[in-house]
Amino acid sequence: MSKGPTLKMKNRLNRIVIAFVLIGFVTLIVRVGYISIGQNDFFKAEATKQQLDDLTVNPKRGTIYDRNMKVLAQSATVWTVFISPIDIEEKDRETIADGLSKILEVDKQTILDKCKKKNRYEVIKKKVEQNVADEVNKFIAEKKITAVHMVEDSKRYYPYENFASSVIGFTGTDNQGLYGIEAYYDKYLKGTAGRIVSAVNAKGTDMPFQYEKFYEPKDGNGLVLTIDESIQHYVEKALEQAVIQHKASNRGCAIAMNVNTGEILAMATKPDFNLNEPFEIADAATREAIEKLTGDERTKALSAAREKQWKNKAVTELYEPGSVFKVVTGSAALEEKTSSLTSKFSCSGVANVSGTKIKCWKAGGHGSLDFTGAFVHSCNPAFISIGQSLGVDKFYNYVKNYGMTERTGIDLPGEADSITIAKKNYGPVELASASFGQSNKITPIQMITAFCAVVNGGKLVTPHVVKQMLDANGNVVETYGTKVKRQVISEETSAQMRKILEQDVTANGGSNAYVKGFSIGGKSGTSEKLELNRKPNATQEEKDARVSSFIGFSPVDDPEIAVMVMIDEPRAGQVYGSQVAAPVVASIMSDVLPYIGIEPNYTKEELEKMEVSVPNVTGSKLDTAQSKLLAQGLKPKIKGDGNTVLKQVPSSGSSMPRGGTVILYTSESVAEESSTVPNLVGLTPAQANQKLTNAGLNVKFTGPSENVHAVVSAQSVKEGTKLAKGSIVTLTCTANDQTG
Amino acid sequence: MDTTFFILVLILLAFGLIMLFSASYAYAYYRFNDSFSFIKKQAVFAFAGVACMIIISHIDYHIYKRFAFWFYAAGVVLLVVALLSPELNNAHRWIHLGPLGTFQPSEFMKFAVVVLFAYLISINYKRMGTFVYGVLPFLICLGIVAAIMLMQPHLSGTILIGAIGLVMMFVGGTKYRYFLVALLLVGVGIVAIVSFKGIEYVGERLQGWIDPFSDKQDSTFQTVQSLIAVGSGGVMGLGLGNSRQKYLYLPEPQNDFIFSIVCEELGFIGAVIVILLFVLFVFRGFVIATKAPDKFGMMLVVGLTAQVGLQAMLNIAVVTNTIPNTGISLPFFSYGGTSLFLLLCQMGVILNVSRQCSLEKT
Repeated sequence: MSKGPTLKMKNRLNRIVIAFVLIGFVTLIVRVGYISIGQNDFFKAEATKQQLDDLTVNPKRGTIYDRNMKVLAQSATVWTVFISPIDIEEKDRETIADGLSKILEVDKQTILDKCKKKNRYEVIKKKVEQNVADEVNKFIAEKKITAVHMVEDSKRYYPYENFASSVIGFTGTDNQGLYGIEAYYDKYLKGTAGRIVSAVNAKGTDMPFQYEKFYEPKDGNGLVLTIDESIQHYVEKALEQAVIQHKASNRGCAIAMNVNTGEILAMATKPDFNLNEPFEIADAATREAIEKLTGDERTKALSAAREKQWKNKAVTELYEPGSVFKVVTGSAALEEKTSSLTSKFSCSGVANVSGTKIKCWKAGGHGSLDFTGAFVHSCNPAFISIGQSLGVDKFYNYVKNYGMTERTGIDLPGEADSITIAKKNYGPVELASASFGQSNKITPIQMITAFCAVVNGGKLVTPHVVKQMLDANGNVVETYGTKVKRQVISEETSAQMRKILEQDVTANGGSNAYVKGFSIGGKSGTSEKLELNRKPNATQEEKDARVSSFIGFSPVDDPEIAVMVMIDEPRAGQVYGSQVAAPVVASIMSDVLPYIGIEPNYTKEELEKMEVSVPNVTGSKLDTAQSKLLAQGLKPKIKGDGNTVLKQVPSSGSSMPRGGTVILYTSESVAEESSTVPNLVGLTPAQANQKLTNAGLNVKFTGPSENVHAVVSAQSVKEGTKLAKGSIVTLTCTANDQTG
Repeated sequence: MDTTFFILVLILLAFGLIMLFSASYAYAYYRFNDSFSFIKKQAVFAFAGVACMIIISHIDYHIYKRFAFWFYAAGVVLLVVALLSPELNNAHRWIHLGPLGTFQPSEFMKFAVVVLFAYLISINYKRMGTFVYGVLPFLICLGIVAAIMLMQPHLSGTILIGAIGLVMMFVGGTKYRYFLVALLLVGVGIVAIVSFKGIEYVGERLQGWIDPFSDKQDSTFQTVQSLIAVGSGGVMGLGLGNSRQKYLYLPEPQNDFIFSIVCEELGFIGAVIVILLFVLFVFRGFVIATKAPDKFGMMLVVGLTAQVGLQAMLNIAVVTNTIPNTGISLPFFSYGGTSLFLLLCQMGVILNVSRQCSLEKT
């Protein structure tokens, strides 16, 4: 016993130590159980989070086409270049930063800083083009770098840049639609992202055990617009010129619409911006002004300027339609038979409405007018009477039925809510001013939609810009047809209105909206901006602020297309819609009508004055030459005594009106005669014609030269220029028309 | 010889080797492009170790008595050599043996301390109640070892050797009150560390321990990865060989954190089996100790058994974040050739003690 362990030792070992051992190990078993069973869900999720690599596969955004399948917006593959800093060894940092900064044009220090981080995902550059991505790949392969990666992304391209910018809109950095159709139809265009879920080891490379799931991305739907690229082009060209010419200080917009279906054929706002660089301020003056600012001011000014250039004026901004609105009042009166074509109105230049004096635009008044005359002269007192005989109830019903109190529902974002007078707030003065288009504020799209209802047989349709939706393979999955909201007026009233509106364009020998050979109806409007004009302490500029607009349609008997042009705050002198906006509509019509297949139909007088192409008679025998010219309706005038034509003025191929004179030189001895171009601007077409004929020159008119108020507003050759006799001088005429 | 104990050792060894192969498989593949690189070396040491274990089981353990001081002296020298050796993993704990890899003298020191303490207790067992014989010599021995090892630095090894020493002193008969004093001293030590390192540093470490997810990337990365491995195993585990955490998430899964791979692959059940194996090992060791022919033999077995039991307990506690992360390996499981070899040799010593006591008689 003395040799072996003592009892005390045995006791201490077998009781106390074993107790500690048991307590220790049982504690550990409980602890392991708590973690592996109790918190199993939490740790499993944590494990999944780090062990599975979830890669998003971006779908391709749908393409946007015009109605003839011309591509307006398209997505192309670009790349996001990123690094996995944790996998970069210190010695490689310099190489990577140097190489990438050169290829991607990113600051080298920025890349170096990112290389020093301890994560697995640092983006170096987004939206890298394919050719640059190829260079990055080459660089990676050459230097055997494993920590630089690229993932696919897509970028939006707009091949026509500024074209229809306010309608198409654009996308943001994450390919989300931000404006226009891109925003409105974003959920269809963007498609559904796919995913690749795979097991990876801690270095991000694949693990030997099998786990990979691929959820295929679904590409976005394509859209076919109702917009016609050619019509849009004509509209933009004419509008842009007008906005510049009339120095519009608050932009201008134009809409071309199919009157029967509600399809928008063109919609433009000018000045516009480049869809490929939407964040650049397109207007040079604004851009420079912003450049001078700093800090908060600059940020604010920049975002305000962007917002302004992006806004689709035709849909998102309100205006007072002015006299164009008279089509609503007039058609309502005809429909309700409170007025008729034979109604008589008298205008003394001022109307007294419950003690408030409202002036007609024409000082001294229009005297006695019939219903059509009220339109042609756009006489405010006449329309006040028309409105009064309708009464508030009926008038308001038509304002409502023509859609003035609700959104049109056009498929574009940000459609503004109109501000109209509530029915209960109509007093005699409100009714009077609303009758000729002041006081109610609406959007241009509301006005043209109502106008279409006036002329299309009375149906209020929903305007729309998307015609079809396509799936990724180009199959039509949805067609957006015509939606008729309601019948506002009868077919008969509509027919009457068409005739009246045709008169409006053709009266007095043709207004500024008149296009030879085509039947066009329309109404102009010049509205005051009451908020600006009447605000206390308004500056002269504010007092003078006007909106000039015109809506025309064609053909009159069976309308197909309506075109609206609105110039906001023209600052170049002319402000009347009939002067500013009507010629733009005429210009658009003259391009668009032949394009959509409407054949010109000239009157006898027009045919007589049709322009012809001067035939080539140089070198011909005099007899032959004379008969050739006469056959074209041109007058030959011979200089010299030879038998052969040696020279002709104008030269062959020139376009000139019938009845013009072609001078034929037949002998070398007779020198070419010349003449000095006189000033013709401000003269009537007849006076100008006389003056040019006296000078031995030929005249060619553009614009409404037949209008009784027509004046020459521009001449193609400057005053004082010497020209060969017989040369053609082109004179632009404008009807000095102030009918709204 | 005690067959039960022998078989327990072989089971632990076999289990350990299988788990080592599974745990090291991926890391070895990525690191050396050879999935077998760890298991091959470990297996060689295991075979050599088993051979030596059997040989040593035939060597009378009493001869260690003669070398008790020399072992200790050699251990101290080796520790100093390691201290002067080139740095590895920010510490001077290893002696470089060229092709044989590295050798950690603290592994030998554990054995040396056990032998020396067993000897001291066996000759002074009657005076263990006094301070001069029951406390002071042990305190001096441990003090020297601790001083050198803390310089390396090797806190976990110091704690382990200290704990083994305390268990032996306790069984040897040192009075309870001295352990209470020791507890007090530990308290003072903690206060000293806090004031030396600053409250913030300690706070951070404590925060990292209480909520390792609060700072996943840095100091607690290993702990977090270990917990994820343990926690994602569930009751049954992902199946042997199916750990995902060993794919470079859990740093060096073949070393200190091999037990978390056991939990991930074999689940709670596997973990309990491993723990029970260690419990059985300790019980059987204590049975041998109790029946040892003399006090030296008893204390030898107590020390060696306690070493394995304590190490397993501390290791599992670290892996489950029950205590803060310190570098303690799991006996029979963790990679380390010389360490395993030495461990098996010490098992041989226990087996020799068992040969000399007649278990059947009791």
